[in-house]
Amino acid sequence: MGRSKRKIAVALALAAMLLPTAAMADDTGLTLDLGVEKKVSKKFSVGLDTEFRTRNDFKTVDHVTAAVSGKYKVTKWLKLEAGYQFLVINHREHLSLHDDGSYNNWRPSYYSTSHRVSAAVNGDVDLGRFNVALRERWQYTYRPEHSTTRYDFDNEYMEDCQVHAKGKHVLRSRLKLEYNIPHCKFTPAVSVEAYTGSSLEKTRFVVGGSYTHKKHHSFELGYHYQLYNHTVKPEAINTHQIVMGYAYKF
Amino acid sequence: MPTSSRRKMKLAKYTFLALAAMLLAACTNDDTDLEWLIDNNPGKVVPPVIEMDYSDLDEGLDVIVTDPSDETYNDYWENSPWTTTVRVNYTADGATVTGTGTRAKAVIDGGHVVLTILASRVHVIASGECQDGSLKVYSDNKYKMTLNGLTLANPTGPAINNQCGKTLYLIVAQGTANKLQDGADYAYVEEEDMKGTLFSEGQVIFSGQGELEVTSVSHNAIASDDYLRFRKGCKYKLTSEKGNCLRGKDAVYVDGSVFNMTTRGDAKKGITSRGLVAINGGRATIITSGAPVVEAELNDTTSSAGVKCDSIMTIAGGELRILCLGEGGKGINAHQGIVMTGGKVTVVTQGVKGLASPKGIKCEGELAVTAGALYSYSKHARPVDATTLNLAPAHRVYETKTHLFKVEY
Repeated sequence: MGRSKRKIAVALALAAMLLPTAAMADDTGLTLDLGVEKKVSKKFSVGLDTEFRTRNDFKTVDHVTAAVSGKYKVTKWLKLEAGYQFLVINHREHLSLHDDGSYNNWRPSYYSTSHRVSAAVNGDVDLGRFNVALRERWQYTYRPEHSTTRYDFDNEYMEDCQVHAKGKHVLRSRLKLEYNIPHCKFTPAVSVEAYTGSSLEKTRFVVGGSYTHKKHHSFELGYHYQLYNHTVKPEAINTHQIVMGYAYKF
Repeated sequence: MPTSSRRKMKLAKYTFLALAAMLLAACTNDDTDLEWLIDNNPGKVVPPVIEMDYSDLDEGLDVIVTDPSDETYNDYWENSPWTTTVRVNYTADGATVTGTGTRAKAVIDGGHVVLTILASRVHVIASGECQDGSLKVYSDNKYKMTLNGLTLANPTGPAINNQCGKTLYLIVAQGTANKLQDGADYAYVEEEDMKGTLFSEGQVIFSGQGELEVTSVSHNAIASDDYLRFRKGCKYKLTSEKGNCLRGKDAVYVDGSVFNMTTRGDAKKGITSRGLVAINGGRATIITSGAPVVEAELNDTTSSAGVKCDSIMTIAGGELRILCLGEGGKGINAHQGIVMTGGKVTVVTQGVKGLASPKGIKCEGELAVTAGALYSYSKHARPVDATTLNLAPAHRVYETKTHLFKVEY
């Protein structure tokens, strides 16, 4: 391993160790990505992707997804993307309160399916060995109506309840910086991504990189920190994620 | 295989095993334990235990009103002379009546006595025990009746049926234990009401220093088509399986004494009146467990209650303790307001919400509290539902939660 590689590896390891300890009350999980991408033509490619994510210090499934997507390279620096994602989400428990702070209802965690469509514009520019990329992605997620149960503290029994169907638009704005190390297959990157619904809901910070082997195999390793805007989502828990991915490209 | 390839294989193997272990570990649930939530609910209130209390009550002397201009002057038998004594004595075989003379006449049928009082100032003393007997009284004048160790059960109607529209002064003799009970089926007499084990057409003023236990298996325990007043000094145990414990059509005044009331009747009450209910002293413990009843004609639901008052309810002293266990059962249901100027009221409703809402205190009108201590807890509904809540300032304790209301002066 060259000196530069070692430095990067050490920096990543330190980041992965130090950042979670900076906020002990936050949650930690693992994201595993597995994908395949087919280059249909010089400008157009399609892909299949699955994702598995855990939470609760790796102990609980958060969601599983399967996605199809297409990318179109308009120019060297501009790409268009579109895709569909099927999600199976393990929704966290929810506790609603009365005005005086006493408990009203408690809904335990439950699984439900959702559908998501997205479209994105991705532009990037090389600045020496750095590459700066800006991606704007619109996504619409639809959650069908779902039946589940909840505990009513006033009446002291479990009761059936309906989780109503819901659709949500989100604009994701990502700024990514990559560094091309000479003669090295590993490309480190950092990025920040803002999720905006009716207002800023969360920000994702990423430190990581990708390793490409023989042009076909791409490995990704990274650390995500998702910081929620608690004025919008007071109950959301900031999360640390270790991300591991593999994509086969042909 | 070259060394580097072996290393890669080894790395891939361990990576795979590590991932597999992590996936297996991700099978647990991250929900909070429900029992923990229930135990640690910030709104959890442990209400006081309300159970029957037969202990003595130090309530001081029963002060007799001697001012003729006082509106309660005539409620004191001590303010009238009593010159004729009629004794009704019951045994297992029947009854005997003595002392009637020309001022009363008695018709006896086994243990069933019909006494017609023909003059004023008559004092009836009833005693003895009979499991198939009754005492019915007709009178155009107010009269006094002393229960002097009377145990009387009537399988076909009220044990005591007072058809007199004037005042009945009912005295529970000092140191005596008296028991009255009705039956499941009443044998009605045309144009006569009989609405409970102890029924009176006119007002009844209770006094004395004895114990009176009144049980009804089908109707009210004590009922009057006028008003009821209870003076200090007695202990009452009132139980009704299907009716109210105390029903004073025009009013109920509790000036003193110890009450333990239980009603299991659907939509029935501990104390009920179409007029005033005034709690001025004593200690009343009321436990209700009846379910609500749908009144189809009125398209309305009526539920059980510790106290139901169609007019103003006043609380000036004493202690009122109410426990409602039935679905939708209310502690106090007052239709025209509640005025509390003293005393201590504790209401606990444990019933579930169904056809009716089990509110601690329902007050259509103003709930005004200027003194005393008021505690209302409803496990499944609001502790207080008043059109207007008017609390005097300078309360010593004031606490409101979803299911609790508490104010103390």
